[in-house]
Amino acid sequence: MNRLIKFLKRPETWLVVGLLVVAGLAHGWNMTGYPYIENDEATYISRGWQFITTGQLDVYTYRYDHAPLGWITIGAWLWLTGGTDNLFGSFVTSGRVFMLIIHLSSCVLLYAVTKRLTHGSKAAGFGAVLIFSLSPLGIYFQRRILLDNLMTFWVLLSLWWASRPAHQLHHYIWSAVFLGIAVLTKLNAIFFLPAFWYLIWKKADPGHRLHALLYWTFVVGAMILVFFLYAALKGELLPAPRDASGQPLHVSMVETFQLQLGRGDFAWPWQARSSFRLNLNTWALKDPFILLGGAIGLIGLTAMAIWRRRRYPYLIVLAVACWLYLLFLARGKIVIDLYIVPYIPLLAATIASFWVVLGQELWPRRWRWFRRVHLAAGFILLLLTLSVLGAKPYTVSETSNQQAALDWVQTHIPTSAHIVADNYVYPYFVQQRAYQHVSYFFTAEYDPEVRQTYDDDWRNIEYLILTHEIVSQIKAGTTPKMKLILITPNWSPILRLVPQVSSIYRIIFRPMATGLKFIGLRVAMRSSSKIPGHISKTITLLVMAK
Amino acid sequence: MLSDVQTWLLAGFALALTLHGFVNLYLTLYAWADPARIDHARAPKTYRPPLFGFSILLPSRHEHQVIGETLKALAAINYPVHKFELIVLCTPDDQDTITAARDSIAQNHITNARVIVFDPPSGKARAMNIGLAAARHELVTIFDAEDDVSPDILNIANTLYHNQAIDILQGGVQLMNFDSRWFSAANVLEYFFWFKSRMHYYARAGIVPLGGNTVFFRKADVLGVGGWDESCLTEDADIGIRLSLAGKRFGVMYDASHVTREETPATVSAFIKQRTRWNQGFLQITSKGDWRRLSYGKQIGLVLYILQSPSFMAWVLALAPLTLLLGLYLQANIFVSLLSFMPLLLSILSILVSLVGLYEFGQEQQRPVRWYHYVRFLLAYLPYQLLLSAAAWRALWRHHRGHHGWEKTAHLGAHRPPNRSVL
Repeated sequence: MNRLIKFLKRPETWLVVGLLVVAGLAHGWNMTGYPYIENDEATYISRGWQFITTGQLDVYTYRYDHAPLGWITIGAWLWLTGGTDNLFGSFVTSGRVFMLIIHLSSCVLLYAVTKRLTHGSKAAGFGAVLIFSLSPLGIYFQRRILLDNLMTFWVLLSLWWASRPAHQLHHYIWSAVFLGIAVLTKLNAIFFLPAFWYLIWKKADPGHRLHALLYWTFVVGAMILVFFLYAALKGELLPAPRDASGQPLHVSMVETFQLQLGRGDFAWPWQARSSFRLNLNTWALKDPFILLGGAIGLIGLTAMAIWRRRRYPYLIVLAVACWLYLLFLARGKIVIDLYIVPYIPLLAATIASFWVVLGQELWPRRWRWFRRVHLAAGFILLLLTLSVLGAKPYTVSETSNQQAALDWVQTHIPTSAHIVADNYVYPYFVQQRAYQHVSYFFTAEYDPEVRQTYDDDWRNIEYLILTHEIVSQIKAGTTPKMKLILITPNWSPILRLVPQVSSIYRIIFRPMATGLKFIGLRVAMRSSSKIPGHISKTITLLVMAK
Repeated sequence: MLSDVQTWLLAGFALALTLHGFVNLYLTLYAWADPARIDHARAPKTYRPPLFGFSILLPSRHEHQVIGETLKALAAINYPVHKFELIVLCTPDDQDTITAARDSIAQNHITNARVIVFDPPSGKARAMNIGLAAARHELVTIFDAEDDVSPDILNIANTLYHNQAIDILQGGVQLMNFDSRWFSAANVLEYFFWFKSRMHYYARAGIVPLGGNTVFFRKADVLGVGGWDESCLTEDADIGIRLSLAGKRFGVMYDASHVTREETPATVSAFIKQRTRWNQGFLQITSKGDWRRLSYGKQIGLVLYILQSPSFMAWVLALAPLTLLLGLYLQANIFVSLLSFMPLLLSILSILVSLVGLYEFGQEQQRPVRWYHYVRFLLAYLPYQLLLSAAAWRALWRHHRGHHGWEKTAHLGAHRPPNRSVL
């Protein structure tokens, strides 16, 4: 009790509580309305619930595309919050609430870790959490139910254990366990390994330094090994034998990894066509400040970490982690936009640490004065971000059309219908309602087992639920069979929802299919671009039927 | 496909092994978990003036090759001559040792040593009880005839009894000749971890299976619990448990430069015999059941863990391949299969721990450990576990059959480096 009172009397407690209120509002305000529900979110939700109900790692055949611990965690959350009659209504909403909790937990950890790495600077921790929580780029991804958000949380937790001031071997073991969980949540957490090695080497008491380093590495390695062991025990580790038509007889971890490592053509990161540069552009659209500030901060921090390494021995950890992850992003192969997620807290910590350390070095005697400048700078940055990038995350509803489509389908389409859809509908229809034949458009095209459900004949498919995401995929040619359906004359939209509009109307298309053109979509695109005054990304929703 | 019952059995077995592995690692690494513990166990840097008097018991049997040197070295220890005495304990049938000891006393002009010849039956516990009765000083300690003892050991003990509220002090004992036989390194490491780490945990828990030498007692305490049990094969561990029951306080000291140095058994059969004796002694203590009088569940658990660990290891090694096979080839539940690999992972971790231990042992003792020593240790790891397992089974069998004879270990002085006088 005494300790609690003491804890509550500390000004720092209230600083962190204040930060959490700001972070909670920034993240939570309109978090179910923005951004729109993306395929991946529903995929992880549905896999998580599948694991809870049947012990399977995927609703379809698990292909080792990701390590499974992330959605197992999400599944556990869904179960804890009431299962199908969820406390928060739909699974997706429940998942978004989970992300809020994960974000707030990450904020506390980021505060503590930044403070430790900067030799006890509360100002640095404060700045890091503000940037982390207010960056529109951050908000866009952090609200989404993504493995990357969970992975970031575990990495921060691991860092928190490894940087604890007391010299206890079990702190490093816990750090290893949580980094193992991070890797099993999203494999690219493995790029942080060397930063941890440095931290542990530098921090551990010489009396058990070697022990700490070796056992930490072993525990992380063993946890990752379990993933491979799982594949081996299932007989799915090595490439599968082929049948007469050259199709593999089962999935294989090695083949999936080869496929994923080979994704995208190589391009140097400075080339305009490289995946890195393309994504850099889209990130810069959402928040140029964190990128620019991060670049300056990283270079400055690296210089400072080397120059003042005696005074700030752990700054280099942050710099190394940033450079390593940058190396991963700029490795020349495919980059997906959400790869930026774990980088956001790192950049936030880098910017704040550099700024604070610079202040301490330049004006060591004027610290009180600098602290005011620090607060003012943070406030100006916040206003600048809001004014330049707008208040979209707090005002625009990108999910209302998606929700309207769910409602409409539920009242108009029988549960026995064969529906191929954007995956966002899957958890709701299949796992919370009783639809029996709903499948993800991508899986419907490629998974042999799912193809069986419509006798491998696309003419048996009755309804399509399309979003702009699917449309762009189909346009890109990734799913030729879906394209075939769309250019078939007798398919027409029976429900069309365009941004900010929820009117439902029926259009009969004239058959005009020639070659690669497919009119349905063109019309949809054109009509959506006519919507006056809208600012959000085009989220057109179509339900199509024969 | 496994039936449900089989799956549960497999899971339970894997879980038990995993738990054992965790406890084992926890105890092995107890000192390193918090380096302050290692520092705390070091010898004091400055010594107090001599206050306590010490009676050093040297129970000896067929030790004529080493007893002379040992006496000479112990007599030259850094402590006032009138404050300690040396008592060699022999039976009359062992004339060689008696002669060697008396010769050494005469040649080296040792004034504070005696040879006490007692009537058979022989036996270390009996020898020590007789030595205890004859002891003139307040504190009693035991060394084996082949031990290399730190010349400051009495100063250290004197200081620790001054500074800490302790009744019993266990000093570190360390096998040294890690490179003489294939199993030596593993054997050396057992001592290393036992005395440097596990002992601290036992002392903190208040349950200490004491070692056979470099233990300091108050004479009154030992008399108070009725002396050593002459029928027990591991009278040292036994008296440790009984003193724990009497609520005595234990201190532990492990300092690389002040450990008592010993040698590993010279042959496999000597090793097996020694280990059988220990295991059998532990079984005896278990069946004597003094430990039932302990008050805390945790202490009882610890005692049973210590005493049953060797037999448990025998089961583990016998059944481990089975677990792996079941996990690998039978269509058990995938999570149970994964669980069945946990003990294996923990074993690999404990090998890693041993390698680090070997490295640190070499550093501390300034003995060069080369790469091939690590390789040899790795190669010997499994055979060594089989030796342990064999000894455990042998002990179980002998205990069951009621063979309680003492199979003594021969000492050749392999731990004493050539070209280096003792101490």
